[in-house]
Amino acid sequence: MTKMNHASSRTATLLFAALFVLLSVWQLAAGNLKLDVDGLGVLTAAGVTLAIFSFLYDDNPLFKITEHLYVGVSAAYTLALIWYQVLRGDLIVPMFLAEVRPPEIWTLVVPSVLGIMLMIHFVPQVSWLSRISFAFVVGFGAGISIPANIAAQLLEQVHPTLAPALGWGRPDVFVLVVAFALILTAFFVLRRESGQVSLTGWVGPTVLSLVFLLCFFLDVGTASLVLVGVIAVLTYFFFSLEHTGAVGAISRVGIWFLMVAFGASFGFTIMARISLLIGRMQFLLGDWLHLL
Amino acid sequence: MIDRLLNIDRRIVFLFIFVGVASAMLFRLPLPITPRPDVVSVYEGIDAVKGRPGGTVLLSFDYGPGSEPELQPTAINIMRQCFQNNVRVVGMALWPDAVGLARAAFDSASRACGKEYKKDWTFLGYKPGMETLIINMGQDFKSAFGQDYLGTNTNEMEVTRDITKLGDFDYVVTLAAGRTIDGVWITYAVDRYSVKLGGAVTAVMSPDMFPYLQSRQLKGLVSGLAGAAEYEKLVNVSGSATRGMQPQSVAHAIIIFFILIGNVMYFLQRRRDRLASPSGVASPSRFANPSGSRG
Repeated sequence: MTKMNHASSRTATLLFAALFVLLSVWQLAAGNLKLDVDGLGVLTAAGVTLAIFSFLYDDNPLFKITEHLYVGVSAAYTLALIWYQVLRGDLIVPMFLAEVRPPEIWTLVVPSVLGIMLMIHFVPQVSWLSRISFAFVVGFGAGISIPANIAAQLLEQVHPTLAPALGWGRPDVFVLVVAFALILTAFFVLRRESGQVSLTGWVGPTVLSLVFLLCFFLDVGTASLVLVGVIAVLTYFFFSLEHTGAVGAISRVGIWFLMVAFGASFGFTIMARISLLIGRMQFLLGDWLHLL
Repeated sequence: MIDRLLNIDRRIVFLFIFVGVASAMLFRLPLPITPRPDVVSVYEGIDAVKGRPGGTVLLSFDYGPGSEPELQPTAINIMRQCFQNNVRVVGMALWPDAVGLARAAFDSASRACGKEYKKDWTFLGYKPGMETLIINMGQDFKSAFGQDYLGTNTNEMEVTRDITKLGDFDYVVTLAAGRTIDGVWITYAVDRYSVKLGGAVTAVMSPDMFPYLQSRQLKGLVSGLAGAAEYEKLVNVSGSATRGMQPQSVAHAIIIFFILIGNVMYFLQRRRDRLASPSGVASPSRFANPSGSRG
């Protein structure tokens, strides 16, 4: 748990609270916002948004209050929704309140009993009963998910990955030459490393990124490049052979592929986080301050 | 100077991002948006439903308010496209948090296009179960969803009357912020019931989805705010996603600028240390712990 720096925390609280009050008063005085349901909704949303953003300055009580409020409201909303739509709608009404009960009432009774037995886990004297429900959940889950996952996630992926190897074209030959050049580079870089010259951290991934860009813009052999990457990464994770010589060079290319993949994920993550910021900024500058 | 630039206060970076994003929103300089083939695939997949008697698209809302800026514009634009093409839309949610967002999207799109509840669209609401729910829908849609969110019987509504199983939907789009797209929809709906599935996902998830595009398990993909802006371009709408692309680009430029500063300073520092060191080898620990404390 982080400790609050008192001076910095006080600054953050006062700064963001003052900002919220001043700008809200300005909007109310200008007549852009009214103290009706919609206006209060906008003011509340703007207030909690600023309170969350205040954490960027430093941890502070405003952020803490909003954080707890968020967790509480989310839990209460989910509970209410599940009560009305699932428990009441799908269980209590059909079993007890409906004029005509469903013909297959056991489809409601058996899951309900199993569910109650799960909750019994918290009663020490009869907690063993919950094992029946857990056994059902684990057995059913494994039975249903293992074949489905093998089919959809593994077998379906094998064909498109190996497809380039089934029919080599000119672009694939180009990629093969590139792959061979990469492995050769890795081999020589590995040899140089023993002489304490370590440029592998950025040279390899940079070269590989350029190859990816080239393939993308020329629209050649991306699939075969993926195949090369799969083989290289699998070699890197194959620990039964010592990673020296040719195996070491291929596994080093595997590391480069992994680094490019992590870099791509990092880029997309930044894009997603900035998108969230833009969403909030559109609300603050548009709905709250009416500047857009 | 080098040490100072290597240890810029994070609040200064936040300030730069804030000022950059706000400026880009206030002073518009529209950037060209070119839809990528994956986004066009989703658009064309839905467009292909046009003219089919009783053509119906299923939208699965599998995200929460945290992903609203990225996925809500796509949801609304897909609905508008369907309504303009006289294609029916059925909504459902695998995430409980999505219910409010889905209702808001349906209200907005149906009002804009003058479409009727029960006849042209309905929202089935949230159901737990994930995989089992999809299997149930694949076998008997009416037993999975006997009623919609407002309690209307699915047998009595024109929009769902002829739907008996998941495969009866002409196209399915999952708007996902979590593992429901590959863990549930691709694994069960596509593989078992041969559903035509398009996806709209957050940018964080995009790299994980590319293998499914290559294997054609996923027919198309709208990824993140950029994908949403591309979809807006396809449906000729200039909405919040399009307006968000300019600040997005400015924020990226600022981040790249700081990454470049960090890298250049790192190499300069290493060179300086190597020159200063009697052995000619830079100490690797300086950058990791510039203060020198052992805390």
